[in-house]
Amino acid sequence: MIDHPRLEEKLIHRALSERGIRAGILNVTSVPLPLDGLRIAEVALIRTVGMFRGVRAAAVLESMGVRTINSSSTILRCGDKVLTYSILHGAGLPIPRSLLALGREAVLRAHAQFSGPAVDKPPLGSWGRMVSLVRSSEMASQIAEARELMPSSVRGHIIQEYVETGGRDIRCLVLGDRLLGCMERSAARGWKSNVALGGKVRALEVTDEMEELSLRAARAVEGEFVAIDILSNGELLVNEVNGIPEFKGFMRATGIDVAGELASHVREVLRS
Amino acid sequence: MEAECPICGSPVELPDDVMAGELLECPSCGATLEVYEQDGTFLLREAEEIGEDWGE
Repeated sequence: MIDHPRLEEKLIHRALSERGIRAGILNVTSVPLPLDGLRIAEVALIRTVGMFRGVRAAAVLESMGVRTINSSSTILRCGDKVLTYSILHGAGLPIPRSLLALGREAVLRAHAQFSGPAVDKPPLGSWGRMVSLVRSSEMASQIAEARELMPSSVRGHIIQEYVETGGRDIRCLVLGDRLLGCMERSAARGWKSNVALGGKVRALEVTDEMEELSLRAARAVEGEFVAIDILSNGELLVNEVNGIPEFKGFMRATGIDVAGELASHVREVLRS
Repeated sequence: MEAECPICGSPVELPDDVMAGELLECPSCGATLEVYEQDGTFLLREAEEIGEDWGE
């Protein structure tokens, strides 16, 4: 299931074909999905760029009895960071100290609880968009005002402590009940380490703590193929879980054939 | 394989494994373009705006 295919989707399709798996590509922006249809596949990999397209396409397929990777509920739990943090915290996993603010007054009161700079990010979104490092109440107020002009899905604020990591974070990829590997991302400039913003990547030796945290976070969101973003300032904190992970940077850094691993996993699912 | 940029008219090189829905940038004018297929031919149109829920 795709909307705007990237390198990842091409690699996955190739890897499935190489393993003799008959895989069709369905672009959800051009093909309607029947809400009362019969099963159209055994397994579907949900690989849309649009999170809600992924949630909805997966839900329709699940109603037909298709095994989706990831499921609609996992994609939604990862796509809305308020849901992600709530689930992670509920499962006893360490997250950055964060507050949810759903209006301008709440935003200002949330920022007042932090003595230093705080990160303000919307519940939805990726690639570091609309994520701000706020250093004053004036700036917090301006962000709140600007956000009110945006679609309702991004109007809420997650306000959290700025974890000083030297512009680095750790990304771990989990497939099934296995940690494939971890890499470090470091910001090309500024403090955001997203690969989409030019962040540099390198493979990391996996520690027991990283492995335990990643697998627990994946289980908490019931993720089958997810990326876990971890911040480290001495202690490890789970910062995000990605339900439709991109992995070209990860493949480059670690040399791990993620598309091949995913295709082999699908083959196992089909056999079981 | 090439297609024409609908914004500036410049030729845009398409990758060998091009797929409908793929997003490309016009090297000439910088517009973000979406590949679509019509009667077996790949063409380009202006891409939809990045959605607030886009990303991984």
